[in-house]
Amino acid sequence: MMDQDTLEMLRSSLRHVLTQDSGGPLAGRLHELGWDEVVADDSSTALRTMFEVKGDTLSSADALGPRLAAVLAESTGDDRLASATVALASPFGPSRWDEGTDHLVIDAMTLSATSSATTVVVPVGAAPRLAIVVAHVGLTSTPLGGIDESFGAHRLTGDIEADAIEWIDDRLAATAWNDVVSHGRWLVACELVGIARHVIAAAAQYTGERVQYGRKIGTFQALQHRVASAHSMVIGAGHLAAEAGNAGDDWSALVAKAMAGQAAEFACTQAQQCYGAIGFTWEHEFHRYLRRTYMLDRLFGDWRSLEHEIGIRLQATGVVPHIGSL
Amino acid sequence: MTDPPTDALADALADASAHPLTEQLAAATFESASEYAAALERFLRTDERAGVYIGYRPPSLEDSSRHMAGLQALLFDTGWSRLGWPVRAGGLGGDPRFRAAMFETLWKLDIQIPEPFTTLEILVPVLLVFAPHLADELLPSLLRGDEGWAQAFSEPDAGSDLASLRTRLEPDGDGYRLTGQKVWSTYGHLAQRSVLLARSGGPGHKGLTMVLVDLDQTGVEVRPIRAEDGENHFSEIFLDDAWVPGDRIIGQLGGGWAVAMYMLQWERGAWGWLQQGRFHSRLQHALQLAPAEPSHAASLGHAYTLVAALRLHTRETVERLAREETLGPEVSIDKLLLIDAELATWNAIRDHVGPRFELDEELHWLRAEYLFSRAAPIYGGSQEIQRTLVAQRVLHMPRES
Ligand SMILES: Cc1cc2nc3c(=O)[nH]c(=O)nc-3n(C[C@H](O)[C@H](O)[C@H](O)COP(=O)(O)OP(=O)(O)OC[C@H]3O[C@@H](n4cnc5c(N)ncnc54)[C@H](O)[C@@H]3O)c2cc1C
Repeated sequence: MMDQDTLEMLRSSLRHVLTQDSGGPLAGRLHELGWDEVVADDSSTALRTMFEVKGDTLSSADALGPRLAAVLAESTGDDRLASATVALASPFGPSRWDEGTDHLVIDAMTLSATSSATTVVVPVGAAPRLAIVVAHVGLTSTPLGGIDESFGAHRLTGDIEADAIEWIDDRLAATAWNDVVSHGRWLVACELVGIARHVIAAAAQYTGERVQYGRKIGTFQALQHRVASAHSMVIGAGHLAAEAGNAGDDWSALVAKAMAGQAAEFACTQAQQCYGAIGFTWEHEFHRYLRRTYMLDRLFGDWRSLEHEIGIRLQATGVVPHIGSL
Repeated sequence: MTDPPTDALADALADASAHPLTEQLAAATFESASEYAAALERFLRTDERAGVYIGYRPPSLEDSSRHMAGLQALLFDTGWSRLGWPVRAGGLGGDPRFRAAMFETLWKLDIQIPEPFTTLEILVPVLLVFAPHLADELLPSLLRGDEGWAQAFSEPDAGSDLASLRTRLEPDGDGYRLTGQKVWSTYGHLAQRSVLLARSGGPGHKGLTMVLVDLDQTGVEVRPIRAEDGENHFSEIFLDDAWVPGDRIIGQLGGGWAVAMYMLQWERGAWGWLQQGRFHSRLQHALQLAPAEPSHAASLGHAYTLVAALRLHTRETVERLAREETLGPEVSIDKLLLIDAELATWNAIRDHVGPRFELDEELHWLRAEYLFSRAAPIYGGSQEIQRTLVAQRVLHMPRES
């Protein structure tokens, strides 16, 4: 377990590393920080902290991609995959197998640009089969701007012939993909918590500066209650995200992501109202947090879909489990 | 909560039902609260006297209060409920996590927890700090259910604005006299005594004093009030020169506000933990009551998510209380999470059960609990009061000067 001082130091180093524009790829910068040792020591706290800081700073660094690859490599026992790019389903897809041409038609999303020199793992189908495509010139990576230009998502397309593809054993693929999704849900939950905390703190501060009717707007109870209700929700989301990291199971990751998505969205809604028109402009940082929130909420399932899924699972098993014990 | 008890312990506990467990069940026997919980679960599942309480639904609060007190007596006589309370006050030692684990285990086994039992979580910690002599004297009979206590703070004209209360406390010989009116006192008409906040000095919170008053005396009249759930859930208390012996002051004369504030960390914090156990249990039970309907999955998932958040947050609160940290205004967050979780839980249960919910006689108890859940944003400091506290005292938003 990390003590409070170590954690503070880690936060400030991560803040620096995640927001540096130059200095090469994230992996190198993290290496200089001694990141591997920090993770080896207490991976749950280290990773949670990294993604909370990423949310807080709106960093564009692709911290998630390498994590997904690491989990995939571990789950499949295939070390090559540790440096692969893990593609996710894209709204323009799906990637599909074309019987006619015996080709894999890829239309997927990656969390940063993919170069033709990397190995890519592509999910195909709903309970996905996983295709490994090694350094193929037929892959094209184009930026996906969308709601959040700074997020760094890319569309991956390509038309790949059968003998350039290696399939991960189907049964292995099912559990490995499950692990990838759960890990992703946990880390994105942490990032959403980081965003939500930032948004609430910034809004609370603003209400202490802006004056209307001769009073600080933060003295209006209507605004106090908006901010306070968002704060309690985010506190709850923070606990779930922390527990999901310690427990490391699918169920707590699912619940953590559902809570974090709604807490962040709710925080943005309340903060927006505190700002009035200034928060509606590009002069103000707020819109960037809002955009990132929507982007992240969608990754690995938006919160409403996830709550539905939680309910379906509870109905199916008839068991209401306890997350965390005394 | 799954660790099995150690073998030696299992042997010691094997005849728990034959012989009352006492000092052999001291807190030191257990490595952790979860080990204790596992042992308690075995006891409850195997002891016949406990068996009658599993799945038992009290027909009404008043008619069942004696039967439910029997559960308290059983847990006390066998020693289980004495863990988590100090030895000097008749407990068996250990920190409040044992109590938290006990309540969790009771809910897990679908055992209804007598309301006076849960009230102790709010009232007794205060006594231990501010009136240890009263705790030492009275805790055993309280824990055993031989007597019940109520909390009498609110008055007809002092609800949220508690510090405006007017019930007077005047010195008289070697004691005091109380005159005034209290209201909304939970279980007041079933209780023998009440922890009561009265005015001993001037206006505002500086003039308040906390006392323990006997309710069965001349000068005290208690009238039940029927609540939304159809039960006589709370009562009004009329005080006309009621007697309070000099040693029944809790804390300092004029120090009642500090006592009330200390109480809040239990009333808002430890209470939340207790309630999340109930919500898990009730959601579980509701799932057995009706076939699953995919269109209600979202409501169920929403409730579960909020209850899980409440659970983890109040677990931290229980741990902090166990470390004897003093909790400040942040306990209002526990209450806000409780409100959201409680309302969502019962909405989900009503959705899931469907039209039988309103009409089936068998579901009377479930409806009553549903209706009672609507009080969550009101009692113990309303949702508005908690939000204001969080905004001003936790987030330091500006206050009107
Ligand atoms: C089920 C139940 C059990 C109870 N048990 C007990 C008990 O055992 N002992 C006891 O002493 N009391 C008990 N109470 C009383 C409870 O503490 C009070 O109901 C509570 O403090 C609110 O007071 P009130 O009902 O007078 O509402 P009011 O104070 O009149 O409030 C009415 C409305 O106005 C709002 N309001 C008031 N002031 C403000 C403000 N400053 N800013 C914004 N909004 C405000 C409130 O939030 C609420 O919505 C119980 C109440 C209930 C419902």
